[in-house]
Amino acid sequence: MSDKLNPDNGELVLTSVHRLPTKRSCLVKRGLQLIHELKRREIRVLSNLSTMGEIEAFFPELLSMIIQRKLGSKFALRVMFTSTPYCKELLKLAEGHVFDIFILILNNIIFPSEKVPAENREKNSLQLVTHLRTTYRKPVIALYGWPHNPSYADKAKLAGASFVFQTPFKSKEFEEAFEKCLDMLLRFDEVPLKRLKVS
Amino acid sequence: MRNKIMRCQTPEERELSRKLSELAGLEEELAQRELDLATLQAESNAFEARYLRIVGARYAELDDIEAQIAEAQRELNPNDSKAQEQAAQARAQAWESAQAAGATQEQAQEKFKPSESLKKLYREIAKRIHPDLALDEEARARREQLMAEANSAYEEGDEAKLQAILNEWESSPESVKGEGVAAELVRVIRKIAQVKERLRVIETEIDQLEKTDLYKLKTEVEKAEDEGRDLLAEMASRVDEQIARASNKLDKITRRRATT
Repeated sequence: MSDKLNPDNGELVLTSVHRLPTKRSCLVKRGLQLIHELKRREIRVLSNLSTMGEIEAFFPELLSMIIQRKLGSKFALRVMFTSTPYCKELLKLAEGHVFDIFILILNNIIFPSEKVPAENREKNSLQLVTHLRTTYRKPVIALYGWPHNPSYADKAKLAGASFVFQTPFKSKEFEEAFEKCLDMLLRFDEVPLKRLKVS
Repeated sequence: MRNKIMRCQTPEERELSRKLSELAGLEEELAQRELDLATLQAESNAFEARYLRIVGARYAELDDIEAQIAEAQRELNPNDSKAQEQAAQARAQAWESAQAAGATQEQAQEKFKPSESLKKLYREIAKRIHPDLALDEEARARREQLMAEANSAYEEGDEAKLQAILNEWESSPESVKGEGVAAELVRVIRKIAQVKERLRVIETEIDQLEKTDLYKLKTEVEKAEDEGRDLLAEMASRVDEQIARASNKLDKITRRRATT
């Protein structure tokens, strides 16, 4: 009630009502900075989807749509989609940048030697899943299309994949899986590691 | 036939009547703006307490772990003056954060939601007791004291106390108006000037309050709430993550210190 305007410059001479003590104002400032960090946050997806021409453009769009739907426009997180079909390059990218989600099409990863038998490629893919999960502890969504190997989904899960889909799969199921990954990321939960086993 | 004797108002009476009407309007406006300001301040205080309880306390915990890390590193490098300095700074920061986070824990209130009757009562008090309606310093001091009590009662949502303040005022001699048109006119003109000045101060105060970091933080959290998001919880989780990382780091350093 005793606040006054300074007659010389017209500025308000404040009482202590809304001048926070410095200690508290520091904590408030940190909170504000944290909000800006949260708002700037991107969901960074690393994938080998580029091997599937028509899906290449579709997936980033789908993921953006899911995020928009889930979080609304103001706080919508951006999707940064990075993709390469080559295992070596994928590993290099994962090492050099921070990614939040890995989406792998297991039978389309190009390994250094393409002459290796299919059986070995399947095994290499699982090893890649395990490597990404144990090193970066982020969700891995695995897609595959090896109908001759019905137990592959179980193997992929044992290798550490958070969600496994055999093609063809329903888009809605994929969307639900992606939303679950987002929930984990937004809660900043560390994705729990299961007992991993590459068979 | 009876002649009705009509007494015309003197010019000063007409002026007084006009000024009284102007003052009444300004008093209404002043009461409303005081209410707006008090509500804004009470909301900010309640939000601050909530923020410090949910997020601030976690920052205090994080700063304490960071201070322990810096102290452990100082012990590992006893001859390093930079490590000494960093440890002292980190401990000071941890102490400050702990003080700040603990300051409002006891008075923590979830949200300030004044009832309509509470607002009405406050508006009434502001209209009648406002210090800027006083004509001398003694009366002003008395009004200021009552108004401060009314502000606290409003922030606490204590309707009975507000009613008691109003009753006390109504039965005091200060509420009795003086006599004489000329004197009254002077009083009213001065009151108008005081009320206008106070209105100007309130506008500036609200404007400044809306520019504070606390208000910006509160606005962000409220916007997120409108979109169904609990931003304070998200912030808390983010700081929890930082706490977990810092704890891991501290564990590693502690183990290293134990082996050396």
